[in-house]
Amino acid sequence: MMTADRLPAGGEATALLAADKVSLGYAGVAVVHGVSLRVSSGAALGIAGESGSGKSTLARALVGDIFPVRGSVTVNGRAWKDVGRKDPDRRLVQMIFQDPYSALNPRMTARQAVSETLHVVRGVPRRDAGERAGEVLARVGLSGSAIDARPHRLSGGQRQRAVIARALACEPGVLIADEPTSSLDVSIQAQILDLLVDLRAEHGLALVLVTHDLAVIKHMTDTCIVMRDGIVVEEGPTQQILAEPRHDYTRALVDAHLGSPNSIGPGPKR
Amino acid sequence: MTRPTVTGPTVTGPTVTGPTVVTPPVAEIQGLAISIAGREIVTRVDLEIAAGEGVGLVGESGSGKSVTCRSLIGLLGFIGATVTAGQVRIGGKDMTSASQRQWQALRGTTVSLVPQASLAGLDPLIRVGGQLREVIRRDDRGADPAHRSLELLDQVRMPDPQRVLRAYPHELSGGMRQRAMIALAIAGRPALLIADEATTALDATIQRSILNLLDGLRTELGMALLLVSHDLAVIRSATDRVAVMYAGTIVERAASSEVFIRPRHPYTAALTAADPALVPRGRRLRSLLGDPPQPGAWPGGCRFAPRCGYRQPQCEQSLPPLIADESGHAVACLRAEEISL
Repeated sequence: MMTADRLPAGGEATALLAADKVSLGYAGVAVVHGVSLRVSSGAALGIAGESGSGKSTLARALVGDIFPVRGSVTVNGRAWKDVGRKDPDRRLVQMIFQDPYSALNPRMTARQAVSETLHVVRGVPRRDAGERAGEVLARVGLSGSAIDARPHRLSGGQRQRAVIARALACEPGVLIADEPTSSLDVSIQAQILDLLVDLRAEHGLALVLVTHDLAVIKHMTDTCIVMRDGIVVEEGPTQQILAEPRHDYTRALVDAHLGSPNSIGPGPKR
Repeated sequence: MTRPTVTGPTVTGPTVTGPTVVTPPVAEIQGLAISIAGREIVTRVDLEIAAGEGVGLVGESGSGKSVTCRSLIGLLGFIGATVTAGQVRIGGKDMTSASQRQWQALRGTTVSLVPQASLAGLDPLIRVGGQLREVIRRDDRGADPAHRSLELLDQVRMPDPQRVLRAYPHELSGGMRQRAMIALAIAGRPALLIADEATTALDATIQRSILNLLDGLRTELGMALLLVSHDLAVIRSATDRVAVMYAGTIVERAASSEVFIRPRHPYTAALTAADPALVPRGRRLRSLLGDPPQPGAWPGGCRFAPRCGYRQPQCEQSLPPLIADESGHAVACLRAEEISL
């Protein structure tokens, strides 16, 4: 387990983002139990699981949106509840979601959304923010008329790029992506995944990829955890987990996703 | 055409060796064009489904795959779509301009549809048993509804069938609801079952068990299956042949075991190069530039040309025809012979 007992004692720098035996719940119902993980600069961690596994709830706790019932989530070594709204560490963890349309203000163009963020979060003067926003949007592959278009005029892939640009405007250290490509077609999904790979390589941006899709986990991450019913059933290097899953559930998932071409696997359980 | 090797509940489908098919195809589409509000959204589609065969229709959103399969069950009118050219034949019978009454005689008993998993496919106010009995009385006259209901639930490998008969749809899990939908669809012993994104909204492990079920039913009941999906892995695992659609046309048609390993159309190649499940780790996904065109607002010539790395001026002249080689591998690309993908 990537738990505290295996963390290097003192020596190395604190992880950018860490969860220590985190339990989470809604209205008294526990949905995540004792999950620990750490994300250092430039890392790529996958959180795999199916509906109801608690992976999205965990992601919300990692970004400081909800607080743990037990355990703690720390950013730069500080618990989220101690990081105020205007604290410079607040911007370090950014998140993008499956549905970029609902994440964008329908009345704002991509450029306005990004320049607003640059101004509010990074303190860029308004007169410079528009131009800077254009640069950030160009970086994610939005250009031409798309930059000054409102979300309803953009395609699904363009919307997700706009959302990524807005997250980048915060200059985060970690980007948490919760099913970032699940609503996109294969060819558009590839564009977004390639973009995330590039951003990681160029800016040392750490990625936390939350998805049910093991193919995406396989392609994008170095380490991963597999969640089921709120607990981590398996964790370690992605390649090893997918090649030699040890937990029955992981094995079933791997079979379902990455089964060899034309293999249909065992029949359903009666 | 031989079936690709299938592990698991292996039964060789209706033995088809070589291209000799004695019975007429269960469904046949020739030169089909479909328009909605004056926009042509499907153009020149040819597709043939033999008895007992598993055929996949793969494509991205807006490629025309759902509309194409609606034409096989007479549901075009409900979305304001009309056939503007070509023919649709079911069991050898021309249904191109058939009335709803004529379609009703075939629906459920000759052709049946399993829609995308959702609550909407089942009546929320009627217990599963009631819905099954209603369909059995309509599509399988003479059968004892109570007995046949249980038999159907058994065929779809429904856990705890007695309880399910008394349950309302909301009391079932997503996977169980989809099994119930399949039971309704096969009640009339159709010759062709169309599964339109039937596993799309389900978790991967459930999705896999539903695919296993559809594949098993195909052999058990000798029924043909048209599996429509945007998911290459789904298509690959449960079909004999695949048609790849792009922008309202079929760009490639070949054996499932062949098409994603040796694609011959640049679009199919791009799809496989963009699929993280098919691309080796560490290799970059080769993503297609740009977005697919809006349905009906197709570019002239080859519709993939604007996004194609192999484009030449001739590609923009006219829509390339789908041409099959002697093995039956068909591709609609002027440059298919000269380019290696």
